[in-house]
Amino acid sequence: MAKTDINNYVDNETRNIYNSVALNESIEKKYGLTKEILEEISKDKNEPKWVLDIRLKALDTFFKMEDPDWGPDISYLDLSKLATYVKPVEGQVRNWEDVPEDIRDIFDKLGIPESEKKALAGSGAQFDSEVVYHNLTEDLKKQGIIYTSFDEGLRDYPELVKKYFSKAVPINDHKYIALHYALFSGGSFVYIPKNAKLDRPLQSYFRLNAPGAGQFEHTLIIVDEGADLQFIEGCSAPGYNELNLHAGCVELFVEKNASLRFSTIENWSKNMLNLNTKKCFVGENGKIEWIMGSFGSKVSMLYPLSVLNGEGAKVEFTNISFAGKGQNLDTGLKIIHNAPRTSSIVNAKSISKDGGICTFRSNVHVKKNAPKSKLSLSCESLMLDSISRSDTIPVDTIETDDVTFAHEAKIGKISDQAIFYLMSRGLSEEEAKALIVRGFAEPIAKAFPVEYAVEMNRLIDLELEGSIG
Amino acid sequence: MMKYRLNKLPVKTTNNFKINDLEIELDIPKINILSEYVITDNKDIIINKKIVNKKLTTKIDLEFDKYLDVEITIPKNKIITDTVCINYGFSKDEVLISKITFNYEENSSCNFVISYNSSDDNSHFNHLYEVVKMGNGSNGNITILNNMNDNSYNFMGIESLNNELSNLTHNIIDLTGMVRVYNVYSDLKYKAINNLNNIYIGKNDSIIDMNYYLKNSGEESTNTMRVEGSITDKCVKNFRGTIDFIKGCSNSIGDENENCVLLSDTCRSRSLPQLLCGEENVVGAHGVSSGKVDLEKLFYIMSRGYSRKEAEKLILLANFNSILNSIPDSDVRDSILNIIEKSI
Amino acid sequence: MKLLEIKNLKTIAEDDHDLNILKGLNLDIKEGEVHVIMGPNGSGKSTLANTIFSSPRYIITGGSIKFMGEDITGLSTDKIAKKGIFMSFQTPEEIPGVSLAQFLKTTKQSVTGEKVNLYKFTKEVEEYMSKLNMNYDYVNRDFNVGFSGGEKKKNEILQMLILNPKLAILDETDSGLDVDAIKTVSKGINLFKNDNNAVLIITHSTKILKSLKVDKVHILVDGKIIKTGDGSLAEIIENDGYSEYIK
Repeated sequence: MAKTDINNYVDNETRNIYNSVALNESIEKKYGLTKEILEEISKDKNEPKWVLDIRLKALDTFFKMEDPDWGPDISYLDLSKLATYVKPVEGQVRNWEDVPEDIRDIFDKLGIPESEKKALAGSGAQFDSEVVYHNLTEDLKKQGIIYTSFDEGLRDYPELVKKYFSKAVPINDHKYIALHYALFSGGSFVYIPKNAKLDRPLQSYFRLNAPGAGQFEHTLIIVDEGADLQFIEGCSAPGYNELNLHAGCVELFVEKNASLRFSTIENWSKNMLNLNTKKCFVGENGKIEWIMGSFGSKVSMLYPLSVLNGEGAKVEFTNISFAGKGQNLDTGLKIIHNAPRTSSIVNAKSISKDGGICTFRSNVHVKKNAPKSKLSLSCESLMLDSISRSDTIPVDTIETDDVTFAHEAKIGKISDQAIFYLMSRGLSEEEAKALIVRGFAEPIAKAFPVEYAVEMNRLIDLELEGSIG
Repeated sequence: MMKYRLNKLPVKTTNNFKINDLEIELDIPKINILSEYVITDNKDIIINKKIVNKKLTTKIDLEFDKYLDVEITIPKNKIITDTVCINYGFSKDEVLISKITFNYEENSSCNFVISYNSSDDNSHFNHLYEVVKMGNGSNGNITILNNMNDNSYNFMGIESLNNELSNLTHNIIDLTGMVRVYNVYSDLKYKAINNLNNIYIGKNDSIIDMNYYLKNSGEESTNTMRVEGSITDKCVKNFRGTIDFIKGCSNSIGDENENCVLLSDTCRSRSLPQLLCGEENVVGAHGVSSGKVDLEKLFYIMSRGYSRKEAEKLILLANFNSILNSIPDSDVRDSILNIIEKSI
Repeated sequence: MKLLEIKNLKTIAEDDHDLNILKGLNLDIKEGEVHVIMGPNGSGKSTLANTIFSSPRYIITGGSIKFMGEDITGLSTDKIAKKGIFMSFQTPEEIPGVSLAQFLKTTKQSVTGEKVNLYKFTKEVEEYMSKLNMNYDYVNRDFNVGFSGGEKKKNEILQMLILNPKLAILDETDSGLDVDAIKTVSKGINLFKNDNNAVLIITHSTKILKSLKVDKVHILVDGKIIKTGDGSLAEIIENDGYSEYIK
């Protein structure tokens, strides 16, 4: 796809690019959730026994745990109808030319190979349950930087993976993380050695193509002492009538003086249950930046957790959620201040329209051993009509007096005065509203790398289409 | 001792956040009502007092089978300017279970102070169910002062129905007690105004648990919640404030503010300032802050010769002052200020 | 008699222990004198004023501060105020919920340790406020809340007059003020000044010095006083800037 002019790029897109479907049948599909299925998956992947043991233990845990008794209703999820493992092609390649044409065509439309050439240090692409493409520039490989699919990581760096895998997110964290550990497949493994710095981001793109299927990728990133990394996660799926499930897991380890900027543009189709889990441990003077744009899915429940374990560790969290018709986006964050002089900055925004529900749910905990910590939290919600909902549910626990803490939230609609002003300058009401909504999202869009800021604006435009603008 | 889960949130969130309810071990003593409320004489209001042998429960979720029932009616169009004081002095091993109903008839107006004191250091148990019915256009200001002793137990469930164009202010001044559980539920109709003000001071091992649920049901209704407090020692404070904009309440306002000053590194403050919104055309805001007294401010005041303790006290009192100013009777205000000054 | 005696004072920032601010500062101020400290931004001017008052933002790592012969290094802020030192803040704090009148009365009592005669005190406040062109209605307003920048600075001078310290340190009291307000502030300083007290003015402009009799001008660069002269030095700085002193 030609992307010479950013403005053209925005204006000429439609949702169609997200709706392309690969015609070829996948070569293998597994249904259901039994010990035998897990053993088959594990055997297919040639996994060591300890990994199968985790899968089996997780399956056990899954059946023992209850669905959450709070938040959005997900009781209609019927796992017996879900394709738990979908293998699209045989093996993974390092050249886009070698990716089967119909699959490559989809990634082409999404602009993935193009942006790799232009802006990325490495990229990976997952189609359904398996990674079909993975590549990292040669000079970075020489620096000892590892960026592979998770399966490759497990095969080539078993010690390293075993040391960190499931150490941030335990398998009994909640019911759907147990499901993840039972069925996980695909995802990325990244290791940035001490003091290594990447001047361009790495990107993994996740595409769930098969109807009625689940995606359970596992991403494990270790940024060692003094190293820097920017990582971008993209995801999308074509729209189906069947329910799809995404229960991925992201485990991040940011060591002393290291920094990681983890950006996500989530654009699942509106038949997706997105029950994702993300967690980051941050060491002394380390920094994690979460930048998230949540647009898609039928239901999302996602609350990335940052544990500030080292003195001076920082988290910056920037999120925008946009819920339209039939969507219930229950997103937010958790932060634990577990060392002195740690700091957190949170800036969360949400927009709801056409009956969409946005819920911001957070839990921030300053422990006794975290004096001189600083926290600044802000959430803003915009309601575009009165059939939508917007709830803000923030919990703040402070266990030390020596802390600077402020939390603010605002909820409201677009000011009539602002619309009036813009209309007096010749804009239609719809244009005025769209302009104001984009202005509302602007500070968040700015936080994304420029290519993705463009994609985000495109998604906002798509969301606004029909109802206003 | 029995385990209870009290003061449940109107909308549940994840249990991991430990804020859905208050889990507490309690010994509910035998009901033992020794004396009566002392109420200042006022010929314009109608008061009925009796002991009732019926079930009494509130949104806190404790249950009793006998209580002292006080019903106060402020007749239609009656404007009462003198503050009516309702006082209860605890002694011995007293356990008071009571219900006070305020019937504000149409366009009436009256201010009340309900105060609880104790003459000894015994552990007293106080459970109040306060019901306020605000008639159309009525005007009320109700101050509740809890000044029992540090060993006492206080449970207060307050419910108000705020009819059209009514204006109600509650000032809860909560100064003492081992366990203090407050629940306020208000439902606002067209153009009703409801102000919930709360001051608390927590010391020792005390538990302060607040669960406030203010609903904007009618158009152009206004809910404000202001909570100012300080905690020290091993005090645990939970604040749950919910403002709920019900679909159809257009042009409504909901504003909640909570500020907690922590004076020790062993106390714990937990807050959930919740905004639920099902209506587009509203203005909702919340702000919470906690931490030490602002160091810069402390330094400034100390540079004028105040000791650290005095400066902290000045700042706390200044925080409380904005709330105390909503008590209309200046004598009442001054005497409460005096009590607060002594207890900081 | 020597009022203030600072020897080899060294400080670091509380939130950044690697940041050295004062690097061995010496300063003597006698009764009856007016001193001025000038210097480029970041040289440590405000740090000096705040350090004398034991601000929690700075840590003293060396040297000493004596006031009237007594070592006050690191003494708590209120005790320093009670010794008879006053500081006018660059950005005065707001205290919602406490009226100006209430604050002035309490602060006078805590500094002098005596109960004020309310009638006399009210008269005094009224008189000073009119001399500082302050609206007397402000006494009933919350302390500094809704005051303009100029009103806040005048309020600082008002407190100086009422507390009547031995030594007044004015930290950038003139910054951000218009010509009239600067005149009023200078008038306030002249009203305060006598042979038994002293003033230390921290500024980077000479406007406020026009109507004052200045005894000594110190140039502070990179945490040290590198030149001291009489009032004429201020004018030289006004014309030539600090470039000569910054390597």
